[in-house]
Amino acid sequence: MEIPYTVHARPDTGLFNAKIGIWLFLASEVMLFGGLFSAYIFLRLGADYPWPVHDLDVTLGFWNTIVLIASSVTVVMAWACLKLRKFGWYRINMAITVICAGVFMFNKSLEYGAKFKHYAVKLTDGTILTGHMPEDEHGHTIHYTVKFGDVTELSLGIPVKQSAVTADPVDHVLPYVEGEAPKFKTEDGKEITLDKAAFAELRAAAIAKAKADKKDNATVKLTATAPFKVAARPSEIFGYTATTITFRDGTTATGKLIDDKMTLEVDGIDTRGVAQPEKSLAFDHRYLANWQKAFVANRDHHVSEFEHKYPTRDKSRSATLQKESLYFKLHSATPPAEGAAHGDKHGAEAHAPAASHGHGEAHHPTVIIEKKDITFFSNFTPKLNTYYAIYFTLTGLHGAHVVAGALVLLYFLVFDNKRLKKDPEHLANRVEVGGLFWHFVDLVWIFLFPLLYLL
Amino acid sequence: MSAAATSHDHAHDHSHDDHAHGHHEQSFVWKYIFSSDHKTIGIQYGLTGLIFLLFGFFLMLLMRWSIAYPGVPVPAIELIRDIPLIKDLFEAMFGRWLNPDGSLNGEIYNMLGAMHGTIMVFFGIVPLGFAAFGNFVMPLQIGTIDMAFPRLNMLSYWFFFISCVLMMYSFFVGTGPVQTGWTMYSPLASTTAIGVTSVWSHGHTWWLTAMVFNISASLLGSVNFIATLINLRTKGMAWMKMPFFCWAMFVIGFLLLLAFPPLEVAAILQLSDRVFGSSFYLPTGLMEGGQHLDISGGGSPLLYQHLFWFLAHPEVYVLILPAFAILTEVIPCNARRPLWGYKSMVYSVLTLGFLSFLVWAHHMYLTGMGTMMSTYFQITTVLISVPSVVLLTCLMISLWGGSIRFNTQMLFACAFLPMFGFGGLTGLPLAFSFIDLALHDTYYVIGHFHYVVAPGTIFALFAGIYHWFPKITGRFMSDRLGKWHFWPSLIGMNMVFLPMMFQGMAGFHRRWYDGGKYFENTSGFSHWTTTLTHKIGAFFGLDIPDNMLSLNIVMSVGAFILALGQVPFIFNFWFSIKGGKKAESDNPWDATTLDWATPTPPPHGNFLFDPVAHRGPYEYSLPGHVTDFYPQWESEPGKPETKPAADKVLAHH
Repeated sequence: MEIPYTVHARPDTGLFNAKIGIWLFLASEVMLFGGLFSAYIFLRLGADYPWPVHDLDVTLGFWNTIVLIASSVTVVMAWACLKLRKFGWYRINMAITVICAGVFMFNKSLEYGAKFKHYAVKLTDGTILTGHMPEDEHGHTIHYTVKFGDVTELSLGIPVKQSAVTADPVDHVLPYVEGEAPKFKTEDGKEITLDKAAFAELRAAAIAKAKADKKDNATVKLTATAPFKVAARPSEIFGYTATTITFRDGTTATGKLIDDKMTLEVDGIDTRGVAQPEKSLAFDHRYLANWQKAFVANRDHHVSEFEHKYPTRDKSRSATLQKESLYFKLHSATPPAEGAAHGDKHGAEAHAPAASHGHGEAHHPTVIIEKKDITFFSNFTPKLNTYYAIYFTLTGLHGAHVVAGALVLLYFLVFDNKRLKKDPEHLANRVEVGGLFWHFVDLVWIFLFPLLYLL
Repeated sequence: MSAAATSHDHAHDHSHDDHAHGHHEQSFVWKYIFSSDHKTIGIQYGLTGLIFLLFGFFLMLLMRWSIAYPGVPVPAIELIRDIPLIKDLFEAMFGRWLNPDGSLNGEIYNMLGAMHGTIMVFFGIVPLGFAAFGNFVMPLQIGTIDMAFPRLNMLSYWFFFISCVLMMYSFFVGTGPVQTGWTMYSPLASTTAIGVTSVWSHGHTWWLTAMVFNISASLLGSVNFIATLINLRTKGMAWMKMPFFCWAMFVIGFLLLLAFPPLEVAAILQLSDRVFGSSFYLPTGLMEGGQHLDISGGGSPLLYQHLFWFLAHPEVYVLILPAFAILTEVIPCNARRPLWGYKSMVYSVLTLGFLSFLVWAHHMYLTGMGTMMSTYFQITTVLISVPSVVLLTCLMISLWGGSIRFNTQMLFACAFLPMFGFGGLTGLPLAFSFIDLALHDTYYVIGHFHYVVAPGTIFALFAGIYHWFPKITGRFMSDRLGKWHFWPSLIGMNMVFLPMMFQGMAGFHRRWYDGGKYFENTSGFSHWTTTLTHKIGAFFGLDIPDNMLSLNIVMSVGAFILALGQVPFIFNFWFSIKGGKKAESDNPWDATTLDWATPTPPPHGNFLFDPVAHRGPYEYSLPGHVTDFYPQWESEPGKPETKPAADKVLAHH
């Protein structure tokens, strides 16, 4: 049994099956990315915060555009060479295409990696401080953690029925203990080392007891033989007060809050969300008061330059001016001498890979921000704002398409040699179909690049 | 099977890996489980869909109990809790949410409601109507040996299967399944009301992941359907000689192809909100439990609704078009009359498909998107009723002057016409924003929608099962059991959905788990329907109060009758596979389309001869013809084409 028209076109439609299939698939892809582009427009029009403009590294994006366009050319060349039965050239062109995909993804990983290490902290007055967390001597980021000391007692809640939150201290408490894991005493005075097996035993006993008492919840109390310290990132716990900390498995520990201040090496002060930028909380005497003068100088410089260049334009409607004048970039540990460089003239700034930070001389001032001043913080991930959310979704999905397309083309190149020898026409059809998909991936990028990098 | 398989054997020397099967007797696994044969896949989809329909119906029964008898323990709950194995399963899925006395509460009601909608729409009707019937019948009707991409077809089913598993798994995770209705509106569905140890112990996350697989499955399926219809029609099968069934599948294919991706976007963005903490659908300053959420804000819940309804309106037509597809086969065949207005039906279904992309925001009149938008969508919504009416009218007129055989499938088909008509006409007022503002989210909407899909689509699906059963198995389903299935279903359906209209206009909200008891003061007035209920109850010695709440009892009794009505069907279905009356002919209904030209059951490769479509698909009661049907495949009266099919295989190389 043989499905007709897999290799040769049906005369009245002029198409072989796979070609119809791929065009239909691409129609559906158009709707997929169309939906995402519509979401971008919807979010941007409805944004109630300064939409980030010129935040991405245009140079990197530009070279990626070139790389993708080149790969689209080579995939056509590969197909044409195959049609002409020039198998050597087919292989070379196909290989170049796949390599281009690799280069593209490598650049993408640089771009993503820098963002994951870059943080933004929103203060209570709307000021956003951007910067990096400090690094230890090995170059590892020291994350912001909430530190508790004098912890002795753990209270574990174990619901009898299957539930969303149930005590699992081995996975959700012990990883945050600083230093050696302590030994615990159970309520009946037995001393245990807390591990999976020991906890399973405790849990089973507690559930059996609760069932006997016709209760829905069992509680287990563990007392440490010696007080210990914990340090957890805010995303790793449910919450804390001055004396208790609740982990994500519902376990509550009592102790004393030691420290919940955040250390940040500031590389930017974004005051676009503040009514009086020069009085931003960032210039509080605890933080960056000595940078206020430089900030004002930079702002006035950009405003007067704008007035000079575009005397008829409305200052309040230029997103670029807003950004250049109110989003102040810090390039040294101390404020520049008066009359020196006015921040970053061009606004568009690559968030330099974190490797260049932290070592040797400090490039940025370090501030220690109090918890009460912070309303929100995130690294440059989808959580930061809707722009980065749609940026990561669009480029991430596009990246997934690049990888999928490259794998298919690589398969044709490496594993389809039998077909190449026996039925090159069929392989040419396959390459044509794969190439059509590849062009679509390229086309999506042609839309993505201006939308995310330039507009 | 073997007859066709051996006739292809001399095609061995063509070494394409597309046909690794067909050379030898396939093992059980490859023949029935990982099969790439369109008929097997159709049956797989069909059985999965039927099981889910039953499961979704069971969820509804639990809901109906709570609506009619809020706070009363579910009957036989103690019994269920005593059966080993079932006990544990029931406890993990439902039992752990029930009140200690075994009655339902709002939390589990919301879960049941959301999962009933999800399962019925995405796991019951679409797989059964489009994937099962389409897969089995469509390639036969256009005279081809299989789908254009058989292995993609298999992949489609297995993606669907994975999505079924993930969706069912959501019953077992920490929070239980979703509680936000089948529409998953954000921000409710984007945030977590309860803190969870990990996002994966939240039912929403599993719902969204399951939907991503479900959407991928229907995407693969729709590409396959359309490509098959374009490229694999047999000789003589011009577009306008294609049975309407295939046209409907063609349009559904496009609806799924183009409407599902925006839902995929909606699901991906919501998943991102949940897993990565983004704020696509979360506005600035959103609070939960008196606390600001740890989010950036800046997103919009309206974005979700637009993306969702851009799918979900075309989806409504994905639900209803299989019904028309099936009835255009069942009605002409059993009325012994050609389909009236074939061409106008084709143009109507194409128009319907196009317009269905322009009406989505009529689900959103209440969101405050603006009167201009409402006006626009009001106009398109009223427009779309025109092609729907054309389709229904053509089916009705097809009955005119026919000599109708009232077998089971025809009973279901005949009941479909007024029931769907009622569902459609009650929808018209909802198209107007000023009426919709009052009726939004009331039982009126539920009644309208269910009239369209329950006694509408599901009746048509039943008709299709009775109609094609002899082709699939070689045996008839029992007509007597069929009638025992039909009448309780008809009565039950109407008892469930008709009172909804009255309750809806009285302002009963669709998400009251206690059926309005909490609002007894405002919902306690009487109406002629409630007085009637009261009197009928009194006749049977029951004290049913004379107020709107009594309709809840009517509906729940109706649901129970409906449940009983399915028992004969389930018996009939399983016992007829081996024990039904044998079909003596390959064309037991004297039908005209190519699906009846194959051996019974159709072997791998389908046809024993090279089918050619000599005429249109509905040549019934042709004047001057010896019989009252003239099949598409006969070149002269009574003379089937006999050219062996193997030639066709060679001809393409």
